Amino acid sequence: MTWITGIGTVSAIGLDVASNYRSLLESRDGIGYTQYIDTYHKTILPVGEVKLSNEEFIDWLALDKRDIYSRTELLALKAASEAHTHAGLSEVKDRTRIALISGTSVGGMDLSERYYKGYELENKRELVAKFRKHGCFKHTETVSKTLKVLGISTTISTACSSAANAIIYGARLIDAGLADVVIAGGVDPLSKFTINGFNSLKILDTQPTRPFDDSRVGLNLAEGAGYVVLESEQSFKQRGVKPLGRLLGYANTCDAYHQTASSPEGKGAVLAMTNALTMANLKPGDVDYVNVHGTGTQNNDLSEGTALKTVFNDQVPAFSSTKSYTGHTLGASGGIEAAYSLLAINNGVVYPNLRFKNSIADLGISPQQEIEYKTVNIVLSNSFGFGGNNTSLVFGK
Amino acid sequence: MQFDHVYIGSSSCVSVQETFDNPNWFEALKPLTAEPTKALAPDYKKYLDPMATRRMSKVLKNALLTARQAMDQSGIAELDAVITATAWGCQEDTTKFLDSFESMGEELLSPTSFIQSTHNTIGGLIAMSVKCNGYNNTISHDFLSFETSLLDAVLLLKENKTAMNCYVGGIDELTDFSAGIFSNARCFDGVHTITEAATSFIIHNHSSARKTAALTNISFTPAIDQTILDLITKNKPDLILCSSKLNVGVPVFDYRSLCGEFSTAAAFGLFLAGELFTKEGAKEAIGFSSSNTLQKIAVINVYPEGRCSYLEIQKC
Repeated sequence: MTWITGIGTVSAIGLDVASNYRSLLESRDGIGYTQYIDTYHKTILPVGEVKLSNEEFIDWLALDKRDIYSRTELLALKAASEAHTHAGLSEVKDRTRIALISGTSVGGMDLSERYYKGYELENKRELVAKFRKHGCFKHTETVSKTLKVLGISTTISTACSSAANAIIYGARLIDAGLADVVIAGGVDPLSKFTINGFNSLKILDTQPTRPFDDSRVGLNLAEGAGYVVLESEQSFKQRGVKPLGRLLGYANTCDAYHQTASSPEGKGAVLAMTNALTMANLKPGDVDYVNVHGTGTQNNDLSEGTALKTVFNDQVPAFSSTKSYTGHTLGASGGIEAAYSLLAINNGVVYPNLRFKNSIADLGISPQQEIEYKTVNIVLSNSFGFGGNNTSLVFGK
Repeated sequence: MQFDHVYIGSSSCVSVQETFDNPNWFEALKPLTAEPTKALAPDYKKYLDPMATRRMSKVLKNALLTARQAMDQSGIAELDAVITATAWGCQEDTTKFLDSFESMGEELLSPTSFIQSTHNTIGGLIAMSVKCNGYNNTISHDFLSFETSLLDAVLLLKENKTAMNCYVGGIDELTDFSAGIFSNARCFDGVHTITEAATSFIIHNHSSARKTAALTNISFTPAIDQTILDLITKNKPDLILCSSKLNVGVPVFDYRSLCGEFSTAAAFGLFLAGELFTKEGAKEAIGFSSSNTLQKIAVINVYPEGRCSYLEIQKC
């Protein structure tokens, strides 16, 4: 059994957990035009950008200014450090028992897209530094060095379910006795590459996204990082820290239907939710809140909504997409939303789904529209990605 | 971590050697030059539907091809899990998409290369081709991508008490663009030829099924330290496949002299170990005396900054 003893997030709605939580309570989104990316779409497509420049991050994190950092590294360092501090991990002496598993879709793409054209002109030292930052692994390596993690460290890249799958990998390391503590989550930066990629798929909204609304047209691309600290029972009891909750179940399945689209019946999604609940030894009726994947695209919300109705036998519990606040942070979303799920459990709150007006005609289900304070014992969190990668996590008190 | 009841069912490899669909590839080993070298391309039309694969990059074709061949050799039509290791992902499509908005501007772009640029495209395609709704993971962690993927598979087999067939692939691509960068940026050891390969395995946990070897240990250490030396002393492998200098009283073969250097080269090491157990003449081809018995092989990798991985397989 895996417990959670710390969380850390950075997103368009806040630079730390406290400010993210405040924005959620105040129904304040972080969607707007980019300040930092030089793209044709900068005044056309709103995004969920973290409101801090790379230079400000470098100052804030007290990093060596002579080095080059990808935004991916900066976001990951910020959120993972917060989770590390929150869990009080500095006091853990045997650093080989701490693992770090991080997810990302595009790694240091923000640097690659700026510099790759000039690579043949660079002197070797700069080239090595910049090119290695392109790798998905690089931010993981930077975080593990900074936080003195000496256990297993690896990087998952399953598009939008990357962070959720990193959390699963971490929990399994603990269950197998290969680590006592795992910092797990994910990160993705905004980049010209992903903005154009998603735009070429015609699934970006020119307005703030409206997940699960009948009139939804697409998602808002975003950036951020989210990490949780997973810990074995023995370890947190020995350290005498108070856990935030438990990871009761999880499942990683594959839709195996299409490279980018979800199957109409949400086959992979049904399997992921059902298997995660089965593992947690729970009935669908036990779930108090579903933090849905809810990207706001035609395809995802219809498919995920259909899957919800199947899994919950038409008795769908309170659900909302917090991507209506943050935008879609791709590989980070599972980590950020895991933190939001734990906040929901600890504070007894269900966040409203912003900008919802009418149910999807074919579904007839409505997300949470007003903030509600109630007992939240069990949260199901969904992360679905390209390549048919579907992952569900179940968190409990 | 030491474990039992985990088997390598079969393997298939596209590399700079004639490994693909050629059981006796080691009889005609190709010497490598100093220049970055791409893998020998199989005759794709012979194995894959040209229409269905016309938009696929080389790395996707090689992954699909070796995955299918490994499944065929194991005599299985279904997979329970797909785990893909790729350090640098789908480079050809990534640079193609980068170039498309650099050269054509940011409007009216075709999504194909973007869709095929994500690391998990490989695992998604394999799952789609065999309709596998099970566990699907992609690991991209530089030189440890393959070893941590293999660990993922072993954990999965241990968690599930029932019989399971798990795909594990080490897939990396060399493009003209990355060849230039890899050689200039010294991403690798600077000793071996920079190459690429796609190596696919079926890993399972049922003792009655076809198996080429048993996988018995996966360990990681921050450096080549006492833990590794103790493992060697305790487990006594007959042969070590390793590209770094080791003085441990066990014969060492530098397998990168055959496959070259790329981030998931450990997958080739494991492939070679299986071949050495099962193919007559293979150990002689790499200079290992035929009079010596070969029951246990360790694949050890020492990576930049000292990180070290230890894989051990035994003859079944």
